[in-house]
Amino acid sequence: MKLKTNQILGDYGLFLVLLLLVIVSAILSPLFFSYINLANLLTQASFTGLLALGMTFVILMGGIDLSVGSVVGFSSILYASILHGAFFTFMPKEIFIYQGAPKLTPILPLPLDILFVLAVGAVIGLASGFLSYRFRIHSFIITLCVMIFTRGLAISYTRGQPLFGVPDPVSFLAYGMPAKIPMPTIIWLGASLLSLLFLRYTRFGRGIYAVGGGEEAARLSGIQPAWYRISPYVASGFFSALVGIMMSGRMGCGDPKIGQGWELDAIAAVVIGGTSLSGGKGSVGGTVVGVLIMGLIINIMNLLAIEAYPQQMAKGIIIIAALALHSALSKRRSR
Amino acid sequence: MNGAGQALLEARGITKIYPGVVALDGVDFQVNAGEVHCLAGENGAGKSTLIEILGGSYPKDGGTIRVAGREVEFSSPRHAQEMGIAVLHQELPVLPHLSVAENIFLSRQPLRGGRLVSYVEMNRQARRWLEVIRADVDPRALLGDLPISRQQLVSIAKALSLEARVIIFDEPSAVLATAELRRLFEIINSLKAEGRGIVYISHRLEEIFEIGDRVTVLRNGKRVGTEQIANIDRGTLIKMLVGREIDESQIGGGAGPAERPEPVLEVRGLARKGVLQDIHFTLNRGEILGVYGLVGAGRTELARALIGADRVDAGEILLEGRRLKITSPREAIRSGLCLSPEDRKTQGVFLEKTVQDNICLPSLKSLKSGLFVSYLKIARYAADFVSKLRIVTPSLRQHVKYLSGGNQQKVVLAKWLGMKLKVFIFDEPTRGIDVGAKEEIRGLIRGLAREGKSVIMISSEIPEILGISDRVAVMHEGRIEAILPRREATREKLMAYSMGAKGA
Repeated sequence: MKLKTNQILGDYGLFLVLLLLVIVSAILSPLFFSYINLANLLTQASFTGLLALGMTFVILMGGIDLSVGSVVGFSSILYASILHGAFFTFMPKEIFIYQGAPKLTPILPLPLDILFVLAVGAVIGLASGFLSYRFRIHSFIITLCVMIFTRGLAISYTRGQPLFGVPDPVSFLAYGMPAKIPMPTIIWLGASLLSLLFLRYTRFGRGIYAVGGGEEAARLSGIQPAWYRISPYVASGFFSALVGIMMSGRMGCGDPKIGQGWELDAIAAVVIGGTSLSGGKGSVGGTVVGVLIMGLIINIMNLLAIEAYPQQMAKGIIIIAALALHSALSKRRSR
Repeated sequence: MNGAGQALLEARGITKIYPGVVALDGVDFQVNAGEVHCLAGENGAGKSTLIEILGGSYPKDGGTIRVAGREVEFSSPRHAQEMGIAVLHQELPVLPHLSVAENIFLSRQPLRGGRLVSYVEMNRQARRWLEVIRADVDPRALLGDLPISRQQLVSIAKALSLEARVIIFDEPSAVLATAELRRLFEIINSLKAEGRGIVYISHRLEEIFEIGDRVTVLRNGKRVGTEQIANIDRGTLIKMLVGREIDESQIGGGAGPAERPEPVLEVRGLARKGVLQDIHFTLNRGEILGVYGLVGAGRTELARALIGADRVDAGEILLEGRRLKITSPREAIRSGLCLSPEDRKTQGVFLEKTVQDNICLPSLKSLKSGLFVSYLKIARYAADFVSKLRIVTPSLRQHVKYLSGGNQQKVVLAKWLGMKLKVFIFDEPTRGIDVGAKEEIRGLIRGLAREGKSVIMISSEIPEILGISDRVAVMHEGRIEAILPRREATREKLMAYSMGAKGA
């Protein structure tokens, strides 16, 4: 019977941590369970959540993607520039100084502009994956380079200036509230559900687990690893671009500097969610819970009006505590 | 049914060239329906290369492969599998985080609605194949949670599910204990009776004689010959293998117990929850204590506990009468104990480091000049051991991963020899290395004992244990069931005690 308790703790320990945090938050602040706060929490979590979702694919396959934050920044500015009717690269500085609402004559009509930016994000991911696979260089290095390059590209694109005037149809992606649920959350949870089903119920999804668990073993089982190794980065780039577009809508402008350091939040959420950094083990469900845990930590500190800088310190410590607790619980199980 | 069936797999003139090395030189090999064809040869003889080519993992540089009479060109392991050739690799490359059923059906999972993986159906089919070989394994269990012998059964089930006509076993006995090997032989015999062709690779001659119908011997990438097992004896086979004669009776002959036993290591009531119970024994100066037991009996766990790699819950260890408090391998080495671990490649050597780096690592302290490590001293020190132990390596700076298993094992030994240690623990030191090198390693171990060192020698090979030990401890389920002096130890007694039959 004892063993059974331990097993439950190991399997559902993460949920217990989440539950614990919810209870603590509710006790610490009466505002916690207000609709506005919960909606805000979920919206915030959704952006990290989408990045962490792409990251889950990559980490399950045994890699890592440091470029997601930069891709967010680049797709944000790229998207805004399409709405402005031009690819602005290397234009004189004066153009970017905000002079009231610009006249918008987009290059591409509405769904196509979004699809274009998503495709660019996917192509950046494809490049990371291909380079890492083809030249057998660890993805940490490749995506670090892609991260630096893409951020540089985003900033040179408008010489570091934001582009204002992103119109309503896109802000719906960021601010919409169908059925009183934030649109980003619907997108995040919907994408997570689809990814979960994909990873669990398709041969390709199982192949990603297999390649992450042992590439040679997978190869000997009849899997050709190339596309399994590359495609997770495509997913990651795609979701990063989606976040970039949504951020443009949310801020009403394209900002090449946005997303700095977000890759670390995404990685932290995936790891808190129990996905092994060495690959082959983990789940999208865990990542969703990991994202919520991260979101809760920030949310409760905001409610308690803790300043931003000490918040970072607390965040670091709480993440370690959550991981230690989780590891202790799963160790007991494996005994 | 012996050897009478039609040719299922026919390889002619297989050649494989690596930069600077001809790994296979025009090798012919044929597997008939309903036969067990053994493949033997020293390490580096080309056995692995041949089966990798037959299994579709490597492309060949010359020759032809025919499956059931038709010429084929394998493009991938999957292609070979589809043609009915399945390889069970020695270091079973399995996916520990996936379930048993998924490991069996990876990339061929049964689908429902033509798209989604049906776990119910997959588990049902997996259970069916496991039942065929009477393997008591839950298809839903994570493969990594199973002992290696069960993992092997899963691999066999997988080969069956592939409808493989030819199943290649790459040294299965390297990871199985005697009882499990019996089981495997039963399975192989039933596969054979169904008319499948079996290729069986082993270093152990007795297995070849027991299970094989024919044997093909490779040496230096060439086929030495193919013989009906019934027509040859051990001496002939050994001669084919090594190209020279080795007197097998020489396996015997330890240093012999000293006149007056002088206890070096005393272990009293050692216990570790779930793996070791109430371990008592004494090890004398110049003595080789063999430790025999089935896989899972706690032999490796005992070795790890002795050198402090795992925590113990109770008991004490005395070295030359002084009580030791060992909580880490570092302290064990300081006190004079060392372990040559079972898993040589991951725990015994650093594959990516050079021969000299490996040999000198524990002794770096004494190889300094002034503040810094002296590479001159390192090279001299390593060169000394390389010549003393006759380690075959092109240079001291060769990476250990390119050495043969026997030479890797010698590197492990060299690492400890310069350290003035008192107790040497060897966990399966001759596993997976070829016949000639095995005997060399045993010779080195006997030499240690003759110099007055004390040795604990863990092995799954009964002839080896009987040959080298002054006394034999037999373990069963975490206990030492019996300690037998050499003259009382027999194969039957070892088997009986290891299976828990007391008072045999």
